[in-house]
Amino acid sequence: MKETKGLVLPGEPLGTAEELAPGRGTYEYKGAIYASVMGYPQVESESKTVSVKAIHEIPHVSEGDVVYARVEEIKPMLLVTTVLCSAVNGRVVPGYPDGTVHISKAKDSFVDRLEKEFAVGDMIKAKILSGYPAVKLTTVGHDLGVVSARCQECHAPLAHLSENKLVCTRCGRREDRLVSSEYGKVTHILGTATSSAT
Amino acid sequence: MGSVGAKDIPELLDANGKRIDGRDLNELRPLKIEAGVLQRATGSAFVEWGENKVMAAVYGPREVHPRHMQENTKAVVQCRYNMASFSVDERKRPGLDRRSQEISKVIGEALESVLFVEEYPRTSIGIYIEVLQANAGTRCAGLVAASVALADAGIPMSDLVPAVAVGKVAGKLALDLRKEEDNYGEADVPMALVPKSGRLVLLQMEGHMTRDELKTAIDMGVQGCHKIYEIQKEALRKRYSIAHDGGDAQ
Repeated sequence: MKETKGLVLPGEPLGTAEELAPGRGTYEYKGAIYASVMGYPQVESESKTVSVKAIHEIPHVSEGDVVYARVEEIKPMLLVTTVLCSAVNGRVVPGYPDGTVHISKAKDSFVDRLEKEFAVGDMIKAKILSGYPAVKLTTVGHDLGVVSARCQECHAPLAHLSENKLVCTRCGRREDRLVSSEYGKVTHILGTATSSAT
Repeated sequence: MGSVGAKDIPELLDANGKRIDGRDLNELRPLKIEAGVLQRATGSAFVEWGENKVMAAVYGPREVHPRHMQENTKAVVQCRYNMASFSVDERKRPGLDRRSQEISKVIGEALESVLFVEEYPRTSIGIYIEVLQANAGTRCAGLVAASVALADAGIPMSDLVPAVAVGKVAGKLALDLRKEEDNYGEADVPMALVPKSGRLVLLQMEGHMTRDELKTAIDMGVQGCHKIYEIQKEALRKRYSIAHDGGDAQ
């Protein structure tokens, strides 16, 4: 059970160190617990942990979060990506951690080869299965999968053709992808300076 | 500007001990803070303090550029204080100068001391302070704006940082100098306080004060900082409590 209170600001007292344990968005100073971010405090009654749910949260890559990532490498059983930003508030994930999608977590049916579903450089939308230190992702879900891709031959943007087919806007080449329902609708992905979002 | 003869120096204190703008010696100029005013920045704040107008924007934590400045144990705080060319009477040559470099450094260091930089290693937190209109005390106004902007950006910090200057005009200590008092006064001591711990994270002095005067000046400044602290908190509350729980956050 969680108990919440009104808005707190950085430096506002939340309780004493004897009664509560400091969680995310809080810190302990001289025997008391204070908020370190602006947001709403929550007390987890079982663990007696107080945390502050920030109004403007810095993404933390924890289980269940939805993020945008860029495909960096395709291994036989594993897709290696860089996690760029939160899909909820668009905010950059500090440190750009690597995220991996195992072949069994790419879609809910059998995947023969990951190369048939993704290509290096694709922007994907994925859900986090487990956070730090090894970020594991899944692309199983209607809105998850590739949201932006470019032609392997001529590097022009690919347009959505049918369910799992994309077509090059310049050379007409067709490519297979695990396409998200948001393909082509994501116009701006905040991320690295090298981000090649279309 | 013409030569400044004795005649040109304004009367800084009148017979009743009131200042040039009618304030008492330990009275602040009117201060108005607005949080979250910019769309593109992660966090922002606008401060109108007397005739000062200062905008602060915060980005991050984000990638460090240039890369070699990145630190493996903490986020780097990159602060830039800049005065608009139209912020002063005579057009200021735009861009970095010695003064703005110094102010960027002291403000950045003051704010770094309250930020939990260890939580975001290998990233940078960018703080951009633009002075649109200046009337003495812009480094304090910038710091006040920047700390509200940081809280607005959701960057973990131990406390907000209020700042104010105390000076000496016509032989008396005065809180929060305005331009004439700064120009023709005897001393100017800007300071920034962390209210929670009582630490001063910025303290500079220009001009001359005795040791006892400095002690009194710091006491006056600390009291002023506590008033500013309340205004900073009020600004953030006003901006965010209504949108989320229909008013009155306790």
